[in-house]
Amino acid sequence: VPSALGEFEQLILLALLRLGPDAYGATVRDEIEERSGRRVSISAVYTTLDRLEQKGLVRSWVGGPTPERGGRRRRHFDLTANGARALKDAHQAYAAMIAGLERRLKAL
Amino acid sequence: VKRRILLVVAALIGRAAPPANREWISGDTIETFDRIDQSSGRFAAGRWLLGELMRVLLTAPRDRLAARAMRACPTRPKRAGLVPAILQDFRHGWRWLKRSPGFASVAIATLALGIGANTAMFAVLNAVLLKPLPFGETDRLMLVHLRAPSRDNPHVFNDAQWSYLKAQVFLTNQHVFDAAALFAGRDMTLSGSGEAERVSGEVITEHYPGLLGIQPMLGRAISGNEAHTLGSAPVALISHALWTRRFGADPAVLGRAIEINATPTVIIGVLPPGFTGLSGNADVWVPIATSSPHSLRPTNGFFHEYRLIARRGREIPPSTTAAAVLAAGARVDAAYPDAGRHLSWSARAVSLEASRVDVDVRRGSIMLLAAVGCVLLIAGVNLANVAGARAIARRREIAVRVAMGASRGRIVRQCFAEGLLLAVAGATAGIVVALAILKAAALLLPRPDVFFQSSVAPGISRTVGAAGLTRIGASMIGLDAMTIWFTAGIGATTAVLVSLLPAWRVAAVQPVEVLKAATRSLTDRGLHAFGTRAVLVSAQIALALVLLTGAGLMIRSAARLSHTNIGVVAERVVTARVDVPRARYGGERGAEFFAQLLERTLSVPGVESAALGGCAPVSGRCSDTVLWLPPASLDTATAPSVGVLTITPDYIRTLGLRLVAGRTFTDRDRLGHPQVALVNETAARRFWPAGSPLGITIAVGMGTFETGAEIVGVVSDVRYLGIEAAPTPDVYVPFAQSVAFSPQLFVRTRQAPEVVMRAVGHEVRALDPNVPLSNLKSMDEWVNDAMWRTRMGAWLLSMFAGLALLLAAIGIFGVMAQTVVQRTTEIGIRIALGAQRRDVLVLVLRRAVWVTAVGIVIGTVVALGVTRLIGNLLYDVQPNDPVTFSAVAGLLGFIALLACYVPARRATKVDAAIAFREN
Repeated sequence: VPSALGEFEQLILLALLRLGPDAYGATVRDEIEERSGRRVSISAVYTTLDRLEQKGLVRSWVGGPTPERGGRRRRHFDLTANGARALKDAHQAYAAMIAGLERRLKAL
Repeated sequence: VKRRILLVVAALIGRAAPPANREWISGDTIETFDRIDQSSGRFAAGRWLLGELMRVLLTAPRDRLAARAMRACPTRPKRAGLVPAILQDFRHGWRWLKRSPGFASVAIATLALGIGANTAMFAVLNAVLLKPLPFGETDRLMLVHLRAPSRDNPHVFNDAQWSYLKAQVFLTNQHVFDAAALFAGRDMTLSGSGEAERVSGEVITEHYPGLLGIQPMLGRAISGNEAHTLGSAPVALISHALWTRRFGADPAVLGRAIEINATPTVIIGVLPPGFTGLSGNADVWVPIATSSPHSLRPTNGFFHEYRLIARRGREIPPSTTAAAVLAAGARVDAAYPDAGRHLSWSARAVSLEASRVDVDVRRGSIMLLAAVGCVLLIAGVNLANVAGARAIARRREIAVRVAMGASRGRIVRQCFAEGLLLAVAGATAGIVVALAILKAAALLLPRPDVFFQSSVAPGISRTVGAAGLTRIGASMIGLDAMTIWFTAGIGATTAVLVSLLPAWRVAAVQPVEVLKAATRSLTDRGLHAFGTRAVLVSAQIALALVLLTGAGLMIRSAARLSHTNIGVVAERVVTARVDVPRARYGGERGAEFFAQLLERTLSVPGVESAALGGCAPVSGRCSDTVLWLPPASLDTATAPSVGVLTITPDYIRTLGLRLVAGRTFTDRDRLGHPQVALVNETAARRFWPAGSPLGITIAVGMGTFETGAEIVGVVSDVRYLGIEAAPTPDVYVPFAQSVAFSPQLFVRTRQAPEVVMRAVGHEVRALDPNVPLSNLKSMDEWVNDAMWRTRMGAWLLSMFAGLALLLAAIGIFGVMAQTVVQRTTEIGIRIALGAQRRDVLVLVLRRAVWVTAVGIVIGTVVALGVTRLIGNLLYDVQPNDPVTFSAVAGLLGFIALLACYVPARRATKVDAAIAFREN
């Protein structure tokens, strides 16, 4: 039984899905801030990504150091097959719960 | 200034974050700052940086706690389970083996040969020693033996056969067996429908098939009356094989009359397929009373000619049987006391399973299984060495995987998966090889019976009944479940053996060391890695030496055997057995018949001379009896025993014996004339050491010769018991004065023996169509048969030892070649520093010599212990024969150094410049 995804985890996975090959800490954080309007700590993003990696939903690799980053390397992230499935499951559950509630939700 | 502040803040933010993510977080901060700086100006960027710093500082404790919690109690990726993981190991192993088809195919072929040979050998051992005999309730079946006090030592008892009368006393005085039957193997002449032929059969009592769990598939069994009452109508049971072969599987055979030993006999039943009696080759069964009426005569209590098979009662515990048998045995002794010698006889029971094989067959087959086991072990060590070397070659790959987080357990498991894949493939192919070996053996050894007919090595007594039971076992040889389990077992053992070394190597890999060393020279592997492989190679050499020594001793035995003078000139002599029915050829008629037979044989073109004799030389089937020397009385207890042979006058000439003194027999030495005898040189030396035996009157315990016969000549010794056994004192008596009913015909031919013997067979049939000529064999064949066991042992052991030698040589070669490759740089440096080719050669060979010497010393010590176990299979060679031991050590040393030569040469050819460039 896959453990249920937390809300923030879902946001991060969705960001990874959208960003594709461009996903790393800064872009993920920007993506979430831009779309959800929430302020997010960069270290929280990484902590969550670490946890997702341990669950096997995300994989990461370290890129080369670049001068524009002050000689620091970049850590890239990507969805694994399990991650994609977990995201899909979460979405399906959410969509199923929402089905037929659209009008009432708007009215709230 | 802006940049410096940024870097400081970025570093600060990094410090606040969990340590693992420091680098990327700092990098991300710098990157984002730059982006905002470019798009919205430095103030926005500065504001963002400040906010970012505050956020990180605020959340830092929480994030650090979360990171620590994750480390302490990792929520591992859910494991898919052990089985899929192991399957994955196998897939990985399979891919890896596919990548090196050369190694894989050599490894599988080696294992297939090794495992196949072991499987075949075990199939034989299993059938002969382990597999339950094909009788019902075998565990309750026992062979009961009469115990005869030995002639030489009254406290030593030998298992003896029963007389019919003694067996009846025994059976009425015991209560532990609920069924029992007498039986005896007899060759019989079958005639009356079709050509006369000799078949093996058994004389039995009524319970015989039943207590073995066998019921006739057609007709009925023998009745008690037929077995025990004189004057019953003669009846016979026949085997399924004989029924099919001679009677075309015709059900109407029941009630048909045939002639067995010239007696009209009615077939009353057919026994089921596969049943061949306890003799293992019987085709006909006849009851005692009708076929051997003499056994029932009250005066024949000492006619010991039957064996007794009995079934222990279901409620009788095995432990109480011995005492009961002993008590009943005492009653037998009381009923039939050994009046002449005042010695008491006894009885004992042995389980049928325990009587299965002779000591020497058991020892021989276990020895051979051990030998093939050794070969497999050596092959396994070779593979382990190669696999170990490959593990070294893969150290980098493994180091990377370990560094990437693969667990060592997983990698070790993968090594075993690879080993297991090899072993499974090897074992599967091995089963095919085993089938081929068994098939080839069946073709190459058409008469395994020879093994049981040949005499036992001196000093070992035959287990009574073993020949028949071994024959039954041999007929069950095949790849049964037990054998397949054995194959699976050695396959698994091999897998472990082959994987152990690489697994250990892999487990010891230190990624940092390996990855650091990857660009450096290879010399630092040095002695440690070499050490394990050196030990393995030494072990291989030791094992090969043990096998070679065994083979060497057997070869020397075989050579000694073939150089042993058996006392006859075997070339161009053919033998055959003639059987005349006692009923029609008693007294004068027999003598007359055989005289005519010899006369007609001599008339056949190509026959140089012909004679009759009691038994063939080296056959081990000659009778012996007691010899009384004058003036002593007829006291059996103290009289020496001698071999006794009835011969016709031309026997001496036909077989090429030398007349040492006196005269040979002539045609005048026949019934009605004075009884005469010849003695051999051994007898002359032993009994008349001072003077000549000529003219002395002796008495021999055989028919009319108990009344005395005059010694008229001394002839040279002949080995009758076997090639191994020294000549015994023998006495020859004239055939015409003591006619036998089943003599051997000896014919010395000038031409091709087959043609001559066909003509001889013709003459015999013309004389009496119901007298078959059987067991046609040249004297050379008799000699070969007598050497069969030793030659077979020598041949098989040599084959195994040769294989072991080859494998050990390959092992040494492989290890030395690898050492040279690994030390190329070191050797290059030495050469660059001025080492001569010779120095390099010495450097490499020194190790090889050490390894070989250690192996030879250990092997010699082990061989000294092991060869003593096969002492009984040797002839005229001591188990610690120094010649064999030194020759084998020399050969092994030579081969080992030869195997090192190529790698050592390669070492001397190392070019310093190239060695450096490569590394």
